[in-house]
Amino acid sequence: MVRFLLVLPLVLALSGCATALVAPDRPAEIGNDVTVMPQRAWNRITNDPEAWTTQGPQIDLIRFFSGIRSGDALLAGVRGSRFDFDAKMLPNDIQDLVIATLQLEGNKAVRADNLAPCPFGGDKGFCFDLAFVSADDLEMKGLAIARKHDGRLDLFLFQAASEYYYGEMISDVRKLFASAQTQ
Amino acid sequence: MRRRIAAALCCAAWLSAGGVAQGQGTLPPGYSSDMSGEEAGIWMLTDKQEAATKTAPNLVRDEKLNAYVSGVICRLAGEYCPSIRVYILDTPNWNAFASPNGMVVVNTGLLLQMKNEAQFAFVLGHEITHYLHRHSLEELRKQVNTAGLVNIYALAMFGVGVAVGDDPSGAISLGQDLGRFWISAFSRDEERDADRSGFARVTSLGYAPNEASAIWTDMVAQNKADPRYSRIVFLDTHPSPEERVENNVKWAAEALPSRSDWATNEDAYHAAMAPFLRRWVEEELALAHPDRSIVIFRRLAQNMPSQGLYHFGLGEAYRKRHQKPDEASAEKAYRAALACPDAPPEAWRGLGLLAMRAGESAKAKDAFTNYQAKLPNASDKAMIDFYLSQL
Repeated sequence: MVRFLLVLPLVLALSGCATALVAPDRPAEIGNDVTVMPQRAWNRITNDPEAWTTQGPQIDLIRFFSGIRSGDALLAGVRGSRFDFDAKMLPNDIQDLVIATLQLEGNKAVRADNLAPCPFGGDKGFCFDLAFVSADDLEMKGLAIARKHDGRLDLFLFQAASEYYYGEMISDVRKLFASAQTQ
Repeated sequence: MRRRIAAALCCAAWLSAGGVAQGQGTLPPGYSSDMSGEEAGIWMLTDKQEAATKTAPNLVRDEKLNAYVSGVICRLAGEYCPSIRVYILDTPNWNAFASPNGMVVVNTGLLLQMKNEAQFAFVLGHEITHYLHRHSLEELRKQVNTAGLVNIYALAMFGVGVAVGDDPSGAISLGQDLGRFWISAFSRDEERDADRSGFARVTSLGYAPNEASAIWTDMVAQNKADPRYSRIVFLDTHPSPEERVENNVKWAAEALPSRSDWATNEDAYHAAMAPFLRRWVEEELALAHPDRSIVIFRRLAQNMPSQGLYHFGLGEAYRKRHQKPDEASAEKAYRAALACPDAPPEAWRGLGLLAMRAGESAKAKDAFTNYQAKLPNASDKAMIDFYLSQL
């Protein structure tokens, strides 16, 4: 019984790390210098990168990559020129970097479209749409918004099943991305 | 331990001496499993796979392309044609396979990479042989029997271990490895049979024999350029591409003198593929393996120098590799693309991005301006406008 009571706080703490509620209408910090305002409740599933979902990561997922330095990949443990961010990259190159990363994760037929300048937390950024087939053979759609700041990359990446979920969520996700406040 | 290894080697020797009964039959035309025999399970499984393939999101339904591919396979299959159904999947990997129920699947990645109809026919001839020689059934029998033997061996080793008070797990694992080795060796023999019989079937229709070895020569070059490529020889289910080159060169030397009108049907092949090349080039690039894409597009561009899409693909692969020495190669490939009648306007964009990265403003401006003139409604127009505003 004593052992159970000693372990219980650890179990609760760990389960809190695994999924924590991101409350709506309250600012959420992403990394050190970006804050966003969610319009709906999300489950935080990891914090490196910060990743949220509502139905589960196979159905919908937002990842906030923050402060990626030159020579670093979006995914930990992945190296290679096509996966590494380089401060000299143009938005087209960063779009290719996202495609390569999604492909590496097991997604198929990854396509990007509509690359355009977009505001990012009051800064100049860019955005593009994504479409791909997930490793589970679900047809997915996505939206990426990014900026280069002091030679580092901030990138928000949303993906959801194209049937129902993307359409149902995209309006809130756009508001969420537009709410980004940078320091 | 030495005693256990000896026992394991005896087991392997028995297996390789034909401890498992072998039998290979060619399928009678119009054959269908009666769903009560030993192959009923495989047929049910492949029927299920075929049902899923019919509704796959990446199934290519274009009638002309399907008619062309089915036409080639029907000429090869002859009297078996009515039993074979072809499905083209929009998948950029080089692959085709035949199932025991007569389903043949061809990936668009294969269609992109074949040089001509003869090469395509050699791949299909190989797959048809798997179907006709019922290799799946033979492999199933081998797996069932080998699994049984491995279990008997494992039990025996466990018994010895208990008797002498020693841990038998190492010897059991060795037995399992030998089982896997044996099944892989059998699979390689089936592949050799499919290569040999497929070669005979395809050349009997007058397809140029040298094209078979050319497929595998290209594969060797592609594997060498792919940093992810690796194979464990003893557990590989296919003979090495090098062995396949050697075999096909030998068979071609034997076949060549028999006639002088060997055909590749290159023009017919490219006419059938032309409407889809743009999409397939993009899909190959989207695999995000520029090392392999460079080998593929360099070869395709050498084979068909007038095809601008191949030069464009090569330029994109070099640019996406993000390595300094590649920039000159990318520019050269983009310029070769723009010299072709079917030059994709995006080659101008590629030149613009290269120049902008290199800080060559005037060059970048000229390239982006050309891109916008050729493709005024491009989906990335706003981004290019932004680039131009920065130059």
